[in-house]
Amino acid sequence: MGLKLQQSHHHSVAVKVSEQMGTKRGYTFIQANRAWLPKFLLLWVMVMAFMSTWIYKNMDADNKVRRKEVLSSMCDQRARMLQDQFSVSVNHVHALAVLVSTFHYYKNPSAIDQETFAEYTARTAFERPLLSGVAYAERVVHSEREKFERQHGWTIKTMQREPSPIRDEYAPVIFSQETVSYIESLDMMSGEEDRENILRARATGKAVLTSPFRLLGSHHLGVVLTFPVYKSKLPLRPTVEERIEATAGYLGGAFDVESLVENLLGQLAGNQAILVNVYDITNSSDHLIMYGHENQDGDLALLHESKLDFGDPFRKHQMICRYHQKAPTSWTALTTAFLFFVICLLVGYILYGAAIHIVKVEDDFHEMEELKVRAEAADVAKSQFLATVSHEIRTPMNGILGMLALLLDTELSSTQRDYAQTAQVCGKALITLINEVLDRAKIEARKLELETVPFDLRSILDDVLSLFSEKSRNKGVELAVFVSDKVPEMVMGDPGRFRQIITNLVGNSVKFTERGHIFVKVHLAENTKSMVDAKAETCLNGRPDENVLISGARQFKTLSGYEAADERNSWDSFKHLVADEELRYDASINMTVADEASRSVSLMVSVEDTGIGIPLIAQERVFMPFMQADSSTSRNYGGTGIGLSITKCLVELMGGHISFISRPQVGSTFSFTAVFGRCKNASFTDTKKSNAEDLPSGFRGLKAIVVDGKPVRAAVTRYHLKRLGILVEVASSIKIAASACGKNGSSCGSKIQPDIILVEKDSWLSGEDGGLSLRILDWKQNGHAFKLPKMILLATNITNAELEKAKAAGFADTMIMKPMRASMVAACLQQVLGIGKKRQSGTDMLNGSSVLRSLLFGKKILVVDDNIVNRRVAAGALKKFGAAVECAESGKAALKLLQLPHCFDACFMDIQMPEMDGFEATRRIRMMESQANEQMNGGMDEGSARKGEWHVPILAMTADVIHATYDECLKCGMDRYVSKPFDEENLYPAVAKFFKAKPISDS
Amino acid sequence: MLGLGADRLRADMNRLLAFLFHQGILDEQFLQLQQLQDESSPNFVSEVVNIYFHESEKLLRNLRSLLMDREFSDYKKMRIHLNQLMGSSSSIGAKRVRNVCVAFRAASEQNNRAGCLRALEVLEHEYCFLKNKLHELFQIEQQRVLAAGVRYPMQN
Repeated sequence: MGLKLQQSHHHSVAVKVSEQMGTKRGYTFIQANRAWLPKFLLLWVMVMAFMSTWIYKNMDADNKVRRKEVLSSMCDQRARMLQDQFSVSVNHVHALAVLVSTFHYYKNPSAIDQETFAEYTARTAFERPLLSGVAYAERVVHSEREKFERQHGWTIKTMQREPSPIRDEYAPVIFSQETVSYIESLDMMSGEEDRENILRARATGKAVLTSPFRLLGSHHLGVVLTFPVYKSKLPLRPTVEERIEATAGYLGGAFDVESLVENLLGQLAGNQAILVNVYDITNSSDHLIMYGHENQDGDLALLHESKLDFGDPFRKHQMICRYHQKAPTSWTALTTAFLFFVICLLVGYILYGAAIHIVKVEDDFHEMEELKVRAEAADVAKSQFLATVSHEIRTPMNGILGMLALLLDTELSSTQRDYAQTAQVCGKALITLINEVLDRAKIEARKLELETVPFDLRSILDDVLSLFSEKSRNKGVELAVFVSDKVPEMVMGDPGRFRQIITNLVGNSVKFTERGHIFVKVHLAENTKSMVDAKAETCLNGRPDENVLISGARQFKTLSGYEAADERNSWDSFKHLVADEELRYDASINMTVADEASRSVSLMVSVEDTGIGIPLIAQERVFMPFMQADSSTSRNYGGTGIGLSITKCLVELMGGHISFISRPQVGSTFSFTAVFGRCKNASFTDTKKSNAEDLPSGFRGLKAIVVDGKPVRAAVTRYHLKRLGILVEVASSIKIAASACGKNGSSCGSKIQPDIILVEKDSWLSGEDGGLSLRILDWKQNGHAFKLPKMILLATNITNAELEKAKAAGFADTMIMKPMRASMVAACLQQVLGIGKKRQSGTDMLNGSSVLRSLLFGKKILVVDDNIVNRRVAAGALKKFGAAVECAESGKAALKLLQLPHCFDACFMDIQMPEMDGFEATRRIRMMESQANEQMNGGMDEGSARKGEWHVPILAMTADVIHATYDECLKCGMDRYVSKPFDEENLYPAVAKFFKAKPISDS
Repeated sequence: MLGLGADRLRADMNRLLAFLFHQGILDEQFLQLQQLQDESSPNFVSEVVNIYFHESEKLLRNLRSLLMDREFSDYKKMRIHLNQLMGSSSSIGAKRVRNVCVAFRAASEQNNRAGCLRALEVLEHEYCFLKNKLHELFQIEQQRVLAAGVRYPMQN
């Protein structure tokens, strides 16, 4: 069954895995574009480079605009100032012209002469900061020249300071400021620019300017401003002729542009930063420079032009400014752009790195996934292999077991029977072991579930011991089991697992023990307390007789006399346990009533050996899987080291815990507790009956004397005999036994009359053998022959010489080889006493079936199978256990029979059937039932009479152990399954789980 | 005298059974079957086995006619027959027959007609052998029961 489970489990895993693979094949975006990643990086870098350039350009352009704005504002400011100053000067010259016309011409005689003019102009010079000086020239017509020269006392001179040639008219300077006094008496009309100026001025009546030229005297570049002075008032709209006619003279001033502009600019901030040029652009093709150098370095890329209006509409001027230095490289822009680029580069690289990493991780992930799938496939293959192999082993094993069963039916001597039975038990154990191999995987997957079925603890212990009896006998190691009387005969639990634990522990002990004994002891966990008390007591007593010196060697009161690691099993505490039991034996009737009220019973099992022990260093890793004490252990003793870890797991599953005490070279004692359920009353009595059948009851009431010097061993022997119903007395030596017998023989008192005397080999060998045989001869002579007790020798191993000796000494009847088992003892006694043989045969078969009978008796069961042979066999098997069986040959017929209401208690359903298979039929039955249940829940009154819900248990029957899927059975509503062909061992757990809820009185 | 005969017959029977087990013709399921036989159904084993013979012969006939058919293609039907035969064989513990059935089914799954024919030959042979042996067994059983029946009044 475990095999099948595992199979289907792995199958589903594989399916799941392939589904996962299907979904995971969709790669992520990054994975899909992995080849593009470097290109993406390159593109990113390029875009970022472009962006940072753009940022730089932007910031630089901003700077330039600002620079240009600064330049233009500075330039405009300068132009405006110059223009303002200029116009102020012009206005003042205008005022001077008015002054001259007023005081020189309108007054008669003139109120102005040279001194007045010079002084006045000198004192008002601050008003005309741009003018180096002013002068007044009178208009003299040629006809009036002589009169004029006479009047002033000098001749009119040209600019070259020569007497003027004859012209139509002249304009000699008559008044002049002191700064320009050198031009007095010079004819202004003789200079080209002046003459032109004069003519234009008198024609327009406004201030006019010359083009720039080198001024007389200073040789600075300058312009001359000329204003006409009229002698009479002009009409409102005078013509040019009228203006010429009215002209009296001209007032002129020289602007020393160069130095004046220099002055002006010097007053302004930021003078050093910019270059200023002033041009006369009247002739647009030839700009005349008024200020500044023609060929200048400086920033030629950027210049600003500002218009200048000096009040002369004929002349046009402009100012051009530019920076001294070229625009400085903008470091902030450069750094910002660079940093931006670097940051973006880093970000890009980080993203790239991350993407590469993701790709790598995903690759690894896919690889891992593939490996995982492969590993799981390997796992599936492994379990399939295990399943197949175990199946293959099981098949020949069945043959072996069948043969053994046949062999046991023949006439056999007790030894042969024992051998054959052992072989059979071993074969069965081997099959269980195969199952256990499969279950180990389950433990590892934590999917192990314990069964809860009633089982007989004692017989399991016997079985396990008999498994190891051959080995222990060869080694000369005593193997014994003792179960306290208070442990219930039948407990609820998982017998297989319990057997596994015991097998593991005993197997280990056998492996590591070369001398002494292995002793398995079971008692109630509550008794431990009293034992501890007892131990304390002996300590208080100072252990007066702890060690008894026999023939010079230290002897311990353990099973074999060797020292054991845990002293709790020595006789001193053990006798308390036994005595305790005997004392309370009568009182325990009340106790058991109370105990049975509680559902569970906690057992303490200890396995003691006198082997090599576990080294102190290794003691902590004992329960770790695959760990042995050291590597040499596996070389010397073999084994995998997984046994104890599984044991621990199982013990914990049983609600207990395991511990051990070990002393190197002395031995180890493993003890564990486990919680089992008590059997319910109904089944308890039944199983008890069946158990009584197991052990022949023909020995009840027999009396026996056990002669053994070692009390623990005697107690074990007594335990086995007690199980057969034999009353036992213990005598520590043959002498005592003989005397007891003798007394009985002579006086026939109330003391027991022994039917059997069991003598331990050690006691017999210790030199007193003569006494007993003599005593027996005595009895014979006294005519007690008909009551002669049977003599039986108990031995672990025996040599041929000893055997002869024993026969000679009167143990001709038989001898029992240890380890003792109740059933084996029974077999021996049968042979010795010649009773109860008939009962013995076939008990094995009846054992399990009686439980089944109790479960199935009176149940009405439907068997559905299309194969008539199978149907008959199944029906026969079920009928045998007392069930009433009805058959159906197809799913449809089954459906008809199971139409509600019906009175079937269970249905066994074949899975492979033509037309409607078992799954389909079950599905329909369940559908039918759920409908009925719904209806019933509507009308409770009728339904409450029945058990509340319709749910007929359906058990699947399947022939193919490997391929049947338990899951599928459960999915379609089946409750359990049994493998076909029917088999008690198979049928029992299935049916037991199923019917245990219903008490037997139900039907 | 007759009582001794019964014991001898029992021994014969055991020997025959041992032989059948040894040859792998039967397995432990047959023992299970025998255990099902008790006072309430004294002829259970022979009854079941006779049903088995009846069914199996029908199935074998069907299989042969299917395979002999000239335009034969119905492997599925054949597999159903084989499953039936396999199920009933394992129920009575006819191990060799069952094993041959497994091989037969494998051949049919590969649509291997030649293999199927061969397997059918073997199957028929095995079946005949089994039938003979089981008949022999039942004859001894019959004699034993008779012998036991004769002994019964002698004891009283």
